Amino acid sequence: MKNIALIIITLIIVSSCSKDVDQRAVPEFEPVSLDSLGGTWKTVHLASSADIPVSAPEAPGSPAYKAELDQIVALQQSISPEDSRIINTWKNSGVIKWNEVARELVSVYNIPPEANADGTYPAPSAANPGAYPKFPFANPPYASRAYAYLHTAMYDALVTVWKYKFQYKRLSPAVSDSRIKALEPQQDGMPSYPSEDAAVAQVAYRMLKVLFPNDTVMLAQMAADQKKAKMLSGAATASDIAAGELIANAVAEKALARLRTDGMGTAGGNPTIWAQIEQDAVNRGNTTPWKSMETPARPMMLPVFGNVKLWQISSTQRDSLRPEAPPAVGSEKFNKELAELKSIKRDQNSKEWQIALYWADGVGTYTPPGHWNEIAAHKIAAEKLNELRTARVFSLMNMATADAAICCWDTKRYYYTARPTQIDESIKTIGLPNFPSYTSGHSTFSGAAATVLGYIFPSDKPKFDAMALEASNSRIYGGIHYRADCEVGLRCGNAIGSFSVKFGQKDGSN
Amino acid sequence: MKRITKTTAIILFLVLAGFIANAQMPADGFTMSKGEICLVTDYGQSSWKEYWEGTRLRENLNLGTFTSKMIMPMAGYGLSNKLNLFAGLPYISTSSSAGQMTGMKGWQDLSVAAKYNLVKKKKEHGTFYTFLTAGFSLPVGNYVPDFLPYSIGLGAKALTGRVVVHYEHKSHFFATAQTGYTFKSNITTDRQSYYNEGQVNSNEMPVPDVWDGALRVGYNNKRFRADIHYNWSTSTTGSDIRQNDMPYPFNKMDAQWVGFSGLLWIPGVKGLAVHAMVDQVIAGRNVGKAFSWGTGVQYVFNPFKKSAQ
Repeated sequence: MKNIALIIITLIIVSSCSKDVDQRAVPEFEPVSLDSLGGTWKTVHLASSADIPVSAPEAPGSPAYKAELDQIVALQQSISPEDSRIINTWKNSGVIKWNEVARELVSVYNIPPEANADGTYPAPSAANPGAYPKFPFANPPYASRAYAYLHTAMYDALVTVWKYKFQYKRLSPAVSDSRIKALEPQQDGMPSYPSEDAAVAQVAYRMLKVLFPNDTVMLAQMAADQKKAKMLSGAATASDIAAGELIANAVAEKALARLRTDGMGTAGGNPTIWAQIEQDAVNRGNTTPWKSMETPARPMMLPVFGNVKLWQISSTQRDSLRPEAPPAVGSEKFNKELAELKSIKRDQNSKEWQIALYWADGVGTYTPPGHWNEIAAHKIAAEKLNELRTARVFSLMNMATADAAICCWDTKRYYYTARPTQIDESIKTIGLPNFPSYTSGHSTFSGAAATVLGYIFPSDKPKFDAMALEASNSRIYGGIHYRADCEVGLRCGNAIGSFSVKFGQKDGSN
Repeated sequence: MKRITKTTAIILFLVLAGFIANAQMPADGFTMSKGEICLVTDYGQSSWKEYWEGTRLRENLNLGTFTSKMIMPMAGYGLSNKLNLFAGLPYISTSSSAGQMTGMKGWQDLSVAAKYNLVKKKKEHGTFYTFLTAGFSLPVGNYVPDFLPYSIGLGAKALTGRVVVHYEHKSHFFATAQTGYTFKSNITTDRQSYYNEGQVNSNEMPVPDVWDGALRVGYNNKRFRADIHYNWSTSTTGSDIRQNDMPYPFNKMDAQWVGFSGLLWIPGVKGLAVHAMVDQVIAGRNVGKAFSWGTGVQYVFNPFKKSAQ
């Protein structure tokens, strides 16, 4: 029995090996610049920050303001563990935090619906979001659009917040009242009226609850926590918060009006449209139109997403950005690219396999646009950008990736090309996406995102370009794209990204 | 001295990934004598058409029928009459009859185990034995663990402790009960983030520990052995596969299966035997409802015996 006890003890010691994993967290940082002229920057949804009037705050010595400060003094006299938790949760960039929340929501909803027993597929319904399949199916086009709406609205709200911060220059509670402690780092010289955190929280809540309606309760709680944390920590008074909310609500109204009419609701098409798309491609000379390789055959993912309203590109420009036709099936170039796919071994770990999986960002993940958002978040932290500049990075990049999705899906619908496996069933894959091959979505997303990040952070441009090239090649290694899909997709992505760059060059931030 | 017959047979336990080769020898109630060497080669295959997605049994027309095939060389050695050592290394390939995902193949995990006969009590009606087994396994091949169900293994380093209670009646009928616990290490994946009841931004992935056990009754004499068995295995942590999502190494994989196995000593060739087994998974969670069969040959000899005498 002694031996048994000894073994059990040994096993218990070994069992202390944790199932926890080390996660990449965006490091804490304190912003280095104020950008006191940020209120003049060019906005996306608003004509300018002056669209939203915000009246002057109560004067520093007024009884009304004194009452607000007293409220914070009272709050700070009994900080509960829960209070400390939310202060800690929201002490870093709120913009990055909400970007992470959006990425997690995409991961939750990025699973294709299961087929019905009769071989048809159910579609998520915004009108009944909780029923299976839950709304939305956050596939890459949907995700790119969600990230773009969230971050353009946040950006506009923060430009407006900055306008009034430096117009009214109200000192933060912890600076203006010696009774109030700063329970988190506060940037020197940053006025508190309107609260940037309240604006960010309220925009995020208003936008995400429409994009992910099943999670409204959680989102409301998070937004309330962020606002409360800023009062607890001595960063904002009730009127600072209210002014931030006012701006956020006005921006959200504009952004949501755009969202409701941008064409997403009809991007799924219908059987008549699906047949017409195939016929149109055949009429243009496609001898082997795309077929779903799934059983039962699943309609193409969002076949009319190419008609969704663009951000920095006109529909005429979209048509002129549409690339030349891909190599014809059976042509010499086509056969060479097919042979390349067949030569890549996929049954063992290899450099190619690792790259294919590293960038796969497939079902159940935050998608390729999400991957680029994470890359951007870490770069923002390394550069210690303030909330306004942080919002600008995400806004520019996510407009580019959303435009990339729209242009790429337009090209996919237009040429309607077969995947390699449709031509040669022996080409096995890391998982075959259910939409036409030409051009590669990953390549287009990555080309667009890298172009924007390379513009904002020029010293890292070679690194971003190398990452985009690797992401592009990963689809060849995964067996799901011909080389032409990837090379042309990357080139188009670069061109699409340059339109966001042009906006950034002229937005007044430089 | 009473000569105890040697055995081996393998259980082919299928997780969605494919086989976890569970060498039977460390978990059974039979021992080898000092100096004896047992060499075994098994072939087995396992297939399923339905699987449990969480607790829901479903099929997937984009997988069709999933099949794992395995060749497993194993060796056993009697360090003493009480302490036996074992090692095995399976080669596995996976494929499915439908869909476009690539099958995989390669050498999986090297497992090494020691079995110690702690108690041996002779009674009038038969003999009781208690064994303790300890073992570990390590991935040796260059396989991809995070591509389920096609991955040939989960990629984790594992440490197992096991208790085996065995009774042989003088009528040659026997019964064995055993249970074990396997600790598993986290693994590193090519994937940089994943969803495991929450977004995880990491290329590190947990693999659940496993608690398993079996009941076995059968008949054993000098010419043959036959048994029926019931096995269960449960992950002590892990999450369910989400509806229509892919499976992952961090899923909670549980299964119960029943089967029978037999062993026949070849007349006229001392130490040579053939064996075979079949198993059917009857209940599970995040695993395939697999039918498995296996067959193999084994040869037992004692190269040291002559010199010892």
